[in-house]
Amino acid sequence: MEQKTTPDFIVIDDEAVNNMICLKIVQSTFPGAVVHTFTEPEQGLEYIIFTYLGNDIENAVLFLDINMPILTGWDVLDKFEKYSTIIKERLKIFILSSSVDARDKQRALNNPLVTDYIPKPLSKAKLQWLFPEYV
Amino acid sequence: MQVQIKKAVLGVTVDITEQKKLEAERAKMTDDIIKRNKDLEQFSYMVSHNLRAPIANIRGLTEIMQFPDLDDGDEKRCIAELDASVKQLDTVIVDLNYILQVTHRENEMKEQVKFSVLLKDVELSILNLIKNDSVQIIPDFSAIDQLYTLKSYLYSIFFNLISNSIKYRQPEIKPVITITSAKLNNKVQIIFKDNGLGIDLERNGGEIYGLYKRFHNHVEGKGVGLYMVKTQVESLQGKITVSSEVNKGTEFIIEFEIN
Repeated sequence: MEQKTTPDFIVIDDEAVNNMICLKIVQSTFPGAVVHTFTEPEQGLEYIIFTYLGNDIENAVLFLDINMPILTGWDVLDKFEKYSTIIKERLKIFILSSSVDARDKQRALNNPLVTDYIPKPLSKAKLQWLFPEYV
Repeated sequence: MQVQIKKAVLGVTVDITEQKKLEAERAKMTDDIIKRNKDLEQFSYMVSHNLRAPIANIRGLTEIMQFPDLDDGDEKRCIAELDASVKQLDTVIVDLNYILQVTHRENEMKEQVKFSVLLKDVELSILNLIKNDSVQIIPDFSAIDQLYTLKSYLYSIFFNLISNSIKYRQPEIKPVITITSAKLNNKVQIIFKDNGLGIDLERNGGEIYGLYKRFHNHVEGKGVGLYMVKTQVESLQGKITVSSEVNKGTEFIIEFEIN
């Protein structure tokens, strides 16, 4: 298997503009990084489960929004629950939300699947701070 | 010698009118404070979520726009998104103002409102929508056609329920909305029924009136309409109930006392 310098990034947010921002920011910070964006959580979930539960594959970073119609970010985390060990090993999950409500942050941090809570927008500075090893 | 026993009743009367008045005043003040507090909670929720969302987008977009290697296509897209975010910001501020105002208009005068006339007003204001989407609205107010109420609230209730039915129509089916009134004892019911997308109440039942809650992808919607409807129905001491089936339609029943 080919060795990558940076992990793949997955973004799930119903707002297309956020996904565009994430894509540009990630690619500018880590040139050549692969970014998969999904405006429908169901599709993102399907992709993740299909890709990361299957075979021997590199780890990935997931930026997950909370406030989405139909499936919220919390719902997505619940669905991961039953795959938890494998997902935990392969996915680094960050909640990426525009909310600055302390309760949202606390709820995210209380979830063992969540690595950290990032208030939007994603920026180069935040990425460099989160992943100094790839800079 | 016979002793005469006289019976007497000793009574003390104290006028407590003032005291009762004070108690009532105090109860009302407590009520107002609770209401105000809820408004403030709502306000802070909206500031940290809905006001923040477009601002976060604007900040993200302006960072990207400063990348030296940005191509023309990206720049155009950023400007368009920036424009959309600024408009969204404006909308949230207008909503915020509207929501804070609406809960405190009890002083407005009630009047006899005719449902048929009100419906005509609402139809007029969304004539374009009705025409573009070939919406059929079938009213039947034969049972009762008027209510002594706040016209602006009832207008907003009609407006929001009807525009929701149009917004969440089934793409392949012409939207049909029936609006029927009914009189039960001392109550009037207005029943709004559509043939739209429906809402999965089992999943979302608890949240359907939640502010900024949305239940459909691909449909422009802010999640303010039903929140407003419920708030207004309740401040008129009314009740709202919903039944819905996915891909069949939704029915809202609002009920008010006739006084």
